[in-house]
This record gives sequence, structure tokens and C-alpha cells, in this order.
Amino acid sequence: MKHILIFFISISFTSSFSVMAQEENTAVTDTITKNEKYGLRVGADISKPIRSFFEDDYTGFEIMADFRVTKKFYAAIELGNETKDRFEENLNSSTNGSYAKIGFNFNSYNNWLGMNNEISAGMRYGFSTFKQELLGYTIYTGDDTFPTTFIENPIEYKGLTAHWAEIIMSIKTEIFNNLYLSLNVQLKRKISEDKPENFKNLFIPGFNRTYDFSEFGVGYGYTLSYLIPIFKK
Amino acid sequence: MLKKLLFFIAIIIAANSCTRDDLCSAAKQTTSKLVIQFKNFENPSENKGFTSLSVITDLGDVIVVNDSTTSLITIPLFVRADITSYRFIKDINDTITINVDSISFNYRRVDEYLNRACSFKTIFYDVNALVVPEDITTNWIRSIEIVNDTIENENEAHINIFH
Repeated sequence: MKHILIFFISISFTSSFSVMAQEENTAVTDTITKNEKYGLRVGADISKPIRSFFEDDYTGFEIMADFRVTKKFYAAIELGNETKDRFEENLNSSTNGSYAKIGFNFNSYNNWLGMNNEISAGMRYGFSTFKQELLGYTIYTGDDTFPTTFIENPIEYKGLTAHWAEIIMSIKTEIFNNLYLSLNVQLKRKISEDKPENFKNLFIPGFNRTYDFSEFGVGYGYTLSYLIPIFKK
Repeated sequence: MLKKLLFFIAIIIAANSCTRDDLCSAAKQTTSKLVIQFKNFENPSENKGFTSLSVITDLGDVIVVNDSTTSLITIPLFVRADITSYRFIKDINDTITINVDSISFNYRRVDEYLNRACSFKTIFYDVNALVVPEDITTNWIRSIEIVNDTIENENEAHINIFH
């Protein structure tokens, strides 16, 4: 068993090099001999670390993987962790948790031989476990007879979960050999959530901010991924 | 496909921009005020107004009712203490007939979450009213009746004051 495994690893390792070597030779002279390659693609959403750097009230990361099942269909998974603080005049809260999104992408872009671009639509099932903290609030009286004070009385709501369904649209292009850059937008709809007692989930990791009068949510991603070419034709 | 994608992005931007989360709607029942009905002590079924009634807070001397003649008033309760004291002043501009009665309202408070724009409201429970008794001049307030000791809306009077 061990030998078989080593055999496969070394095959995939050397074959990836041979693909690279081949491309270097043939890129200028003849594109027709270029191989169709596919396999496991792994990457990360680079927009989240960028947001973490520029926004004081956000930290997050997301890693992803997809795998070509058929010529058009890709199985896809995203895993992430996010912390979002909301400091507003009348309400301060902080949310932190992890999420997983599992689903598929359907590529509708007809590549020329040797090209590996995608314009795809996909669906995801999203699941998040998180905690939310109510840090402080003011009481709305609609009246200025008495002074309005900010009440700091932190309450932590732990072990919350949420489920949602998501439509994801993305464009993807191979910028270097086996390295892909992708931009995606997501439309989400909540299926269920644990509602904290006498409060509300203002943010759900992976789902992003919630709305008071709607079950929908939106998101975007800017993903850099690397294809491990397990298969080639 | 690219057109569909752009359309999809446009929908998302539109959904993101027109949210109703920013303003606390006036239709939303936020913290309720105390509704007081003034009645005739001699004839308890009859509402009785004033030639002049003013109501001033003990905390900060804020005038909440100014020189009013109506028999129904609403006054706020302080959401950061379990007691709110008011001076109810009859005939504030008449140096001879002026009569000041003090009432302390005590209660239990529960803060309830509303939404993002309104944040929280306070509901008052077990509301009670105490008239500070006077020795020299008589109280113009003869008696107080608590009709509803939970204050979470302003639909009906919570307290009847007989005079």
C-alpha cells in the first residue's frame, strides 16, 4: 500500500514538472499539443486578508478547493473564519466564528484547446458556527427629557449556528501556469439560524451581514488558487 | 453569460444599497411613555381637565407638560433608574392658587431588543405612584389608581389621577 502511494505521489509530482517543461518548449511553436489538465485546485480568498489589513473591525480568511468531476462540473468547498465588530452610535456588537460552504460550479465557458478559463455559476450549502457578543447599546425613547446614556453590559451568546443556500457566480482565468485568479459574487438566503435571546444575529461568518427585513445576504471573493494537475489528457 | 453575471452583480449592489435598516421607523413601538388620565374625584367616571397644568422633572427641571388644559397627558419615565420623580404644578402663573404636588413613579425595567436602527426599548413593569404628602398646603391630588402596571404601549391610560 505504502509503495503504491509513493508511486502515485511521485507520478503526480514528476508529471507536473513534465507538464511545465513541455509547455516551456511548446508554448511558442505549437499550442495544439498542449495538454488538457485538471485535478485538485487549492487556494485562498485574498480579499479577506486585505480587508483585515485595512478595516479595523474585520479579520478573516478563507481557503478553498475545487475538483473537476466532469468537463463542466466542479465540486467545490470553502472553509473560513471571520471576526466582525460593529460599532455604531446606538449598538455595539462583535461576532466571531467559522464556516464551511460545500457545493458545485458549472462552467459555461467554452475553452479553446489548452485554455483554462471559466465563467461559472454554482450553488453552495453554507453552515456556520459562531458566537456573538452584545457589547453595549442605547435605549430608544424618541424623547430628550432625560439624558441618553450608552449602556455597557456585555452579553455573550455562544454556540450559535446558521444554515444558508447560496448562488455563486465567478469568472476565473489562468494567470500563470496552474495559477488561477478568480472573482466571484454570491447571493445567499438564510435557511435557519439560532436566534440569540433578546438580540439578533447582526453578522454571520460566511453569510456576512444580515438585514432586519430580509433573509438574503450578499458577498464577494477574490481568489488565488493553484491547480495540482493530477490528471492530464 | 457575461451579461447575466453583470446583471447578477447589479442586483447585488441594488439589494445592498436600499436597506431599511438605517432609520428607526416612527411606526415602531419604542419605549412607551406613561399615559395619565385626570378624573373628577367627586364623579370618578368623568374626565377632568385643568385651567393650567405644568409637569416638570425633578431631575434637570425639564418641562414635559407646559400650561396644559387637557385631562390626558403622556410623560416619559427615566430608562436608567427605577424611579422617576415629577412635580405636577396647577396654575403655575397664578401666585395665589398655585399648588405643587410631587409624584414619584417607581418600577422595574426590562430592556428589549428591537432592531438595528432602533436598538433597544425599555418596558416598565410593576409601576407604582406615590404622592409626596404635604402638611402646610393640601395636596390637590386626591387619589391615584393604577389601571395597568405594565407600560409597553400608549394605547390606553396606565394611571388615573383623581382631583
